[in-house]
Amino acid sequence: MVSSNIIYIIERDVRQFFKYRWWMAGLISMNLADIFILAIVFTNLIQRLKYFEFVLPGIVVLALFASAFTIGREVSIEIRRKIHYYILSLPFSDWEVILGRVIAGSIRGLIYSSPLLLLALVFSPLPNTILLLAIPPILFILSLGISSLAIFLATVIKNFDAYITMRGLLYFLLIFNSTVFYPLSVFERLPQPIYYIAVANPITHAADLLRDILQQGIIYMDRLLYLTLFSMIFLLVSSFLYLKAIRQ
Amino acid sequence: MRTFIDHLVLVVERDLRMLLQYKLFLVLRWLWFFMQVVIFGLAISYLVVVSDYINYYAAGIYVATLYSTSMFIAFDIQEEAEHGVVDYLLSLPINRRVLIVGRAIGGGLRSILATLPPLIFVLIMIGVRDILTLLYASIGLLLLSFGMAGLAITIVSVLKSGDKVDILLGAIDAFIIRLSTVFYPRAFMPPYYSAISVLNPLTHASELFRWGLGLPSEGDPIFSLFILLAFMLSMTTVGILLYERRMEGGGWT
Repeated sequence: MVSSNIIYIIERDVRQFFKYRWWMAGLISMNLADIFILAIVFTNLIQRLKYFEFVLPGIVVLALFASAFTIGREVSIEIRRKIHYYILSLPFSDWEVILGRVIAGSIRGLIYSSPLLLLALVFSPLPNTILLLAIPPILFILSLGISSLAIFLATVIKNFDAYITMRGLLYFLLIFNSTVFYPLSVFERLPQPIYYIAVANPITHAADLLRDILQQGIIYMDRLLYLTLFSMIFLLVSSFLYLKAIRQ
Repeated sequence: MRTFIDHLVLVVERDLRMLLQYKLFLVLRWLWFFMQVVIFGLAISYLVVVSDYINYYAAGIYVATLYSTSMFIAFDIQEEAEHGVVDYLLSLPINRRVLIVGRAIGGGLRSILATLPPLIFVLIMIGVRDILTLLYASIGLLLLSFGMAGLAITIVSVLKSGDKVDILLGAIDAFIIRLSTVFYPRAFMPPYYSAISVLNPLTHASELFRWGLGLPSEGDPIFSLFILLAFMLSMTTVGILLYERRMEGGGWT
């Protein structure tokens, strides 16, 4: 019974995601332009590594980040407009609502990034095909962390403009300060704070995990553990904050 | 004539004042620019084979910022239409053409104003070698800004739908920047992209700006200025004519 309630909430939120078709079209254009224009030209500009192969897993993670984060916008609007009273009037428990929403956010990330992942599979050497089975759970763990982070931000920042601004800042900070577009070795030459942010950034670990699987055929367990820890911590914190916000 | 100019100034002033509504948007745009240069630009400059890439990139990304800020007038016009402000504007004792020309001028001018901090940052970072050359190149930036505002007005006038405007601007944004020399020199583009980039006003603005800053440039400054002038004149004219025709009769969704 509990699980079917959560499934209802997930289904509602996933359906809601497809209402953002204009936003999705813009994001798809951006991702495709990044892959088929930017990555191709930078491949000619960069000789130290095969840039096209390098950046594809990064773009998968970038797309997952943007789509999993959309749940935060909805939670922010709901809390601000008190729509959660309606949701709470439904025959679901608080925890079912919270878990359902976080999982729905994660599924959004998986749905959106899947076609790009397929593209990355086509253009990667894939030395160990068995390890490919690990990709969906890894992406789900990352997506869970990102949607939890988005909900965390939505519950902490009540002003919508401030939320939008913080979301934008966090996006720039986490994406530019990660190994989505360049290897970690490059950060060693940048100012130290930037390097430390890149090392601690879960996006770095997710992009490198995906890269390792697709190109080297290995998984570094410490990266996976770090990513899982990040997601679990944000899942716990955001769940409690969300619970507090809707019970007020 | 006096009334014409007074009204024009009034309309331009209103558009410039509207900038203040977007304080958070502007700050975010500046921070985005700053992070693009300081993190992305610097990091990628250690990988590419182009020497002095960080300066090349900073100049290009300024042009991209100017472009996206100029296009923002589309969202303004769209929002005004959705909230019935167009009908209010039409009821004012201001000649229709003055109102529309004023919007086109205001849209271009406010983009330059809104991107002043990034521009100052670039000028300090790269330095100014010859002020006259830079002033010549700045004309190109102004032309790009007015031309893009005209393009934005054209798009919003033709589509008249918030969703369609969103999708088209998103798609244009994704491709126009990447198919130009904002991020990379034409010499490194595959021939099919290079051919498209020659027609792209962002390419000409980027090359002209780099030339004005004394950086290596792939373009001919006179030709680039000519292209930007042609782009500005065509886009502004089409934008004004379409906006004037579509303003009345409602139908914005």
